[in-house]
Amino acid sequence: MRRREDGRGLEECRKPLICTKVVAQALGSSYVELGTTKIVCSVYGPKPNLDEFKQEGEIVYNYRRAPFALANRGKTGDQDNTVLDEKLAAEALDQALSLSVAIGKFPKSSFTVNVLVLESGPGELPLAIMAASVACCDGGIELYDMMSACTVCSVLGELIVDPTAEELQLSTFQLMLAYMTNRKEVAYLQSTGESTTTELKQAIQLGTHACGKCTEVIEECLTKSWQAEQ
Amino acid sequence: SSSASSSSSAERQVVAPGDRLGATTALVAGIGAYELEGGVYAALLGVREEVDGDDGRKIVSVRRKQKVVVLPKIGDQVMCQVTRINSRMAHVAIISVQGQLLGREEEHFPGLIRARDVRAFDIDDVKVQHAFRPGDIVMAEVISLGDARSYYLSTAKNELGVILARSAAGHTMVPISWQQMQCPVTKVKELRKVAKIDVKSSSSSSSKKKKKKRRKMRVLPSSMIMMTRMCSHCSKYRWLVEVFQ
Repeated sequence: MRRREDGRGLEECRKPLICTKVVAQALGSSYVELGTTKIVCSVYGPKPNLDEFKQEGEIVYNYRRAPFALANRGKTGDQDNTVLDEKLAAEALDQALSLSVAIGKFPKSSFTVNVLVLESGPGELPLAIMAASVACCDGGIELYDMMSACTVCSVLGELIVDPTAEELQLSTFQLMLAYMTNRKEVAYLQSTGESTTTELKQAIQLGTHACGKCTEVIEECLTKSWQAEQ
Repeated sequence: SSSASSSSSAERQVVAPGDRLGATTALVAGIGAYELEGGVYAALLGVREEVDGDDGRKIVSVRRKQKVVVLPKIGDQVMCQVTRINSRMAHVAIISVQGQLLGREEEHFPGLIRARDVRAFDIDDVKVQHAFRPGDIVMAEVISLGDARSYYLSTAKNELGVILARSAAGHTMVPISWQQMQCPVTKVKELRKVAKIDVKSSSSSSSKKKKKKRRKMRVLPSSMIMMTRMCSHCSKYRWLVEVFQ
């Protein structure tokens, strides 16, 4: 089997480090780390939603990168791009996670999910999705399922899972997907580049399989946090 | 999916959101669980608990030890503080639901007690200013989710109503009947809709009381400000709130 530069197989994804209860004053929080990418997520609420009467709850996602998060920091010309980037990421989080939160159980309230990227890197958005899912679970928000996410990309005709920065640069096609393992539902899919239909189908399959592995890590972390509570 | 059970007995089984608990033929989804396509799944990280239900199936729920997300539901008993009154209703801020405190001021849900929901008899002649005043702590029951701005609450039961109030002179008043409270210093009587509480039946242990005492001080800053405006010392107030909770 062909090995990649860091010794992994093509379909092997790195195991993220996940901890909960990182922010004491938040309802729930999580810290996730994958390679050099580091993300803290905190959930606050429930706050009364006074704008209109809704039988369902509302979740507001805030996605921010710390000023020191990017490798090339402080370029003021890039300010607009960063803000747009963050806004798109928040929208992606919203689309993905809204399928896993049981908002029907929280009438007239709103929760705020704050994602703070401490160090940016490849696989930032999938990691943020996992962080937000774990933080919501830690906060006691009712979820239909835990969500995990990963990136699959095509480099020189081969599909690889969880690419590093160099592999991403060489890739012709990238697919990011968020997957709920127990429900067997793909919650969010984002693809860039060119691919054939077969390649796309294969990539989705690889992605869901890798997400299954990530879910195992999430469940391990949740068990640990449960035992720590006792 | 892994069901990580630390002990062999099914009672202590720890489940995570998305874990399948069983089929709807044998189980009904309780708190912390949901039903989908013939199966019952967990919605929270917690311990699985089963109780016998009415129709032969068991009600399965997932229980967490630490604080759960609390929201007022219809029928819940809430403790609230009156923020303002007018001739038709009293506006309140809900500070605790079913004994569980809502932490910060921004999480206090607004509610209102309409004149017709103040008491059970003679509802046409209710005078709101003879039932509540701003700053009073009131035990009420949620009767409706209301509109966007407030939950609708009711005090139309004997055990609901004012549990703590300050007199015009600023001293904590003592209830002398179901309609009146008296200031212990000036001896002035004021009208309130007083709640009939069995004060001696508080079943909390001493350690729990200490915890609650600390939390109270953090939770009611607005009322503390109001009390300090009206009077100089608050020590009696803290003790009374602890007793009533």
